[in-house]
Amino acid sequence: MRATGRLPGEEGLWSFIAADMMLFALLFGSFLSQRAAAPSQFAEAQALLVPTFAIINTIFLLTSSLFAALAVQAERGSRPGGTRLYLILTIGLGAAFLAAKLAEYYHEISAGVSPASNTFFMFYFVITGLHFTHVVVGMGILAFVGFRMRGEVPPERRQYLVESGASFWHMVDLLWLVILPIFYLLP
Amino acid sequence: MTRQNYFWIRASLLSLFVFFAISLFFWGILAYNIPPLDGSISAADLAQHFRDHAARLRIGYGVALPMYALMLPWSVAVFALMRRIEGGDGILSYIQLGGGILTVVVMSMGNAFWLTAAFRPETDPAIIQMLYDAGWLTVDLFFGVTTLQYCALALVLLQDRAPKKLAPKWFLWLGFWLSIEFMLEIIMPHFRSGPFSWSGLFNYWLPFFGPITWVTVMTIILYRSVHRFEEEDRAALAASSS
Amino acid sequence: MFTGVSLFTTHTTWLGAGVIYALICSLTYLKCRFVIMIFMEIQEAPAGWRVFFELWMIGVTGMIVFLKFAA
Repeated sequence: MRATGRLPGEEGLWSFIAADMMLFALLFGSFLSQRAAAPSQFAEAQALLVPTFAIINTIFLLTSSLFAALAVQAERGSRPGGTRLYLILTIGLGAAFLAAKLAEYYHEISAGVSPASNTFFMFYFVITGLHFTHVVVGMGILAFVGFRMRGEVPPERRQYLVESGASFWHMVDLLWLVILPIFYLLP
Repeated sequence: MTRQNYFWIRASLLSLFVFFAISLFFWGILAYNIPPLDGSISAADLAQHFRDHAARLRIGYGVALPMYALMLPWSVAVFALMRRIEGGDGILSYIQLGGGILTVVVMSMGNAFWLTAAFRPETDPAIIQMLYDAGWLTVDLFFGVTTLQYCALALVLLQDRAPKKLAPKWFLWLGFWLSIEFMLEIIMPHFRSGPFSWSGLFNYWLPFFGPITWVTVMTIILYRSVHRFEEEDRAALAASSS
Repeated sequence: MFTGVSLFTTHTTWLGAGVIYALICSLTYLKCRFVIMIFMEIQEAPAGWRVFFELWMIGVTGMIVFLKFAA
């Protein structure tokens, strides 16, 4: 890999990432403490979720993170060309995630479920909804990065842009990795 | 800039702290807003609260309301310093100024609703509740102007080209995050109780006290930066007269 | 490696209601660790950041574990 002691991309962005992670940690904690107080109600509500959606979405996001990492590697020269393609694939999988998530929301809402149904679904919709907007923002950042890299851009600047976009994207993936078990998998 | 200008800039920056102190006591303590009433409070209980504490609430809201104006000179002082850094035809300073002025209006409006409820608390509880709700919805959902204000401020300070930067990058990016975090308030109208209601952890405690802390530190940084601009002016004056 | 991680995830739900709580927690922790250390390159980051991310992972996983037993 590269030299140690350094964060990839824009260093200020990492403060943003850290703050976002703390917000979600607070949200997760709120949810889990409410869950501890009413385990059977939460279990009943959880039974209405369809884990298949979440599994598919996990695969989408993990793969997209892989492509984002490959984009970074491509810019650092350890893989030939292809940054643009990797970015497109990352964004494409992000779009696939959004589509699956919307399909899932549609399924749930058609079944009569809403954020007002109970505490479980309040947290479910707010947390996954907030995550959804982060996916959209992440895709926007990556698209911006791709756009900015057109034309003559010095290599350090290219690396900086791709690393920054990828870092935010990995955070979005990371948050999903916690959302998956706490809502869908925990018995 | 003349010495007198710097005096007003410093005084205006400090007016933020005067405002905070007054607001903390009158809005926060006297008017029972720190900690807040529970979002799920019934109209009957709310009306009773206003009737039981009418005089105290009138003092609390009635003194706090006009004091929001102190955020105006503060925003203008910040604008003046941002102009020095941004320079040229840059518009971010103006965005900060506009956001700052509008924030004064928004916060004042919310307090006006609450003061109205305290003015005639013997009225129908449903009316009291509507005024009370109107206050929170106003104060919470007008965040857009404040978000723009803080983002513009952080952006200009990021452009600071001086060898000794006024504020570290991580602090400015934290400012971005805090001002964008306000957007969680968008879900607030959908909840009348719980952590996402106007009295909840995520839509009261975090968006109020996070940015207040940041803005306090930012104002201290800016206050200390005035010295740097004074030095620059003195050096420029000395250079031009020699 | 990533395929293995995805398969783990699928494997977990295929086991259905019989999944051990601990299995989910440790898998979550490992997946998070992978994304943080490898993708986000935190294993190469300054010490302070490594500590932050370690604490975050432990904190979040810890919450999942302990709040189960607070019931």
